[in-house]
Amino acid sequence: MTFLKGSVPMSVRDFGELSSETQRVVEEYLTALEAGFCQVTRNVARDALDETRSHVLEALDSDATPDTARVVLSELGEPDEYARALCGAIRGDATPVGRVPDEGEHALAQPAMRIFGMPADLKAPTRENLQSRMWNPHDPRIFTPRLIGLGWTINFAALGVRLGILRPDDEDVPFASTPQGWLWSALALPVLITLLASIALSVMWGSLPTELPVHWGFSGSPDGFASKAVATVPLLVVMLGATGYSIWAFGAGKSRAARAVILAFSTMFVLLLGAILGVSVAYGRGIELNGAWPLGMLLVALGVPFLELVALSRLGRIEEMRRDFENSGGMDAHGR
Amino acid sequence: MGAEKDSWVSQIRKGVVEVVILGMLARNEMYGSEIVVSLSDRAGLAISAGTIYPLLSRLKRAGLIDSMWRESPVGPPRKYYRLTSDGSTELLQMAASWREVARDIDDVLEGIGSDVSS
Repeated sequence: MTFLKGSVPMSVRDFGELSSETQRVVEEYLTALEAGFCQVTRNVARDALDETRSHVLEALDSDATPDTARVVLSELGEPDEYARALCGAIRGDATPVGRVPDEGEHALAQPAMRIFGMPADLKAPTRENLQSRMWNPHDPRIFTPRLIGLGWTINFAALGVRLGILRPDDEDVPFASTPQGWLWSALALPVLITLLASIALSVMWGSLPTELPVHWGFSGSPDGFASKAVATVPLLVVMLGATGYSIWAFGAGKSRAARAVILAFSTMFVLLLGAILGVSVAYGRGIELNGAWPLGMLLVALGVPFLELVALSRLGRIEEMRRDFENSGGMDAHGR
Repeated sequence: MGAEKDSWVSQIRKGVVEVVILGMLARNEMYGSEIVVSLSDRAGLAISAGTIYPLLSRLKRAGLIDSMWRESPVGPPRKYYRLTSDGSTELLQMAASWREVARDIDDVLEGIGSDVSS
């Protein structure tokens, strides 16, 4: 590499060549810079500091005054700002100025950590999380990192897009235009199932045997039993909890998107546990289902919430269309 | 070096995707899948559907584009996107900056690669 000597000011190789006052100005800046550094690998941080130091030395000559040093340093920016910019550059996450990340990008973000290759997130799920992972039409991935613990969550919207029954931009904001009345109607499903399960269980309680199945083998036939209270009450309690979660979301004035997704989540739980409860009680009443029931249960528990969300999204889309068709006169007025 | 180069190319694409979409919408209104299809003809840009929809949503929220459902003489109603006046202003600035950058890069790269054949 050749330098055009004439165009570059005489630079110093060592701090010792600078006057002590100038040294102090530079050292102060570098100390402040180091303090502003983020937690990047120590070696990388040191490299960045060395780079900065040699840049400064390059720009100064041996009789540089403290003021010259200040001018050179001010070109780098305030130490904390410069440190932040360096950190961003090192981590490779420097986002262009003025660019606001959107929901889709959050959902595409990588999981907090991985355990045995599976995404894991130990933080408590937030509503936004639940929403963006269970229903994110902009994210083409059907399986998104799961809310709690290990594994994946199904992004039902991506499934709908893949199946060709939805388009990613069907709604401007998911469920924002879905009529309230339909959301309330959909709430009836988990409430009714839970209510019916509670009533049926209390009516049949006396006629049930003392032991009921709690575990089934791969063939779909029971291979583990427990007292009927242990076999039924916990399932019912979780069903009540899941339903309660939805009722809370509606009562607490959550956004329509939050309501729709929490509702689908609750419905999935209620269907799953309700089915297990039903099969267990049916066995106690002498009805044994064929081995395919677990598969059928899964299909129903995933299929019903899926169809429910698709329907609610479709209703929102219809509302959007109605609004736009009514306003289309206004659009024509713009000469389009 | 291969991975490094790929990431460099994808960084460039990431940086220009907004101006590409705004530029397309400046010519005429388009609906989502129309944008996807017409971009798929421009293989050099390599913009996927998974990028386009989140971007449309972001541009809409930023007020640079607007969308409206419109009945179609053939097929189902479609959601059309068009530039807003803010979007047009932004696009003009972006186009000017792009030309400036492109001109200087071309200037720097002039003759590179082509003198192999000459």
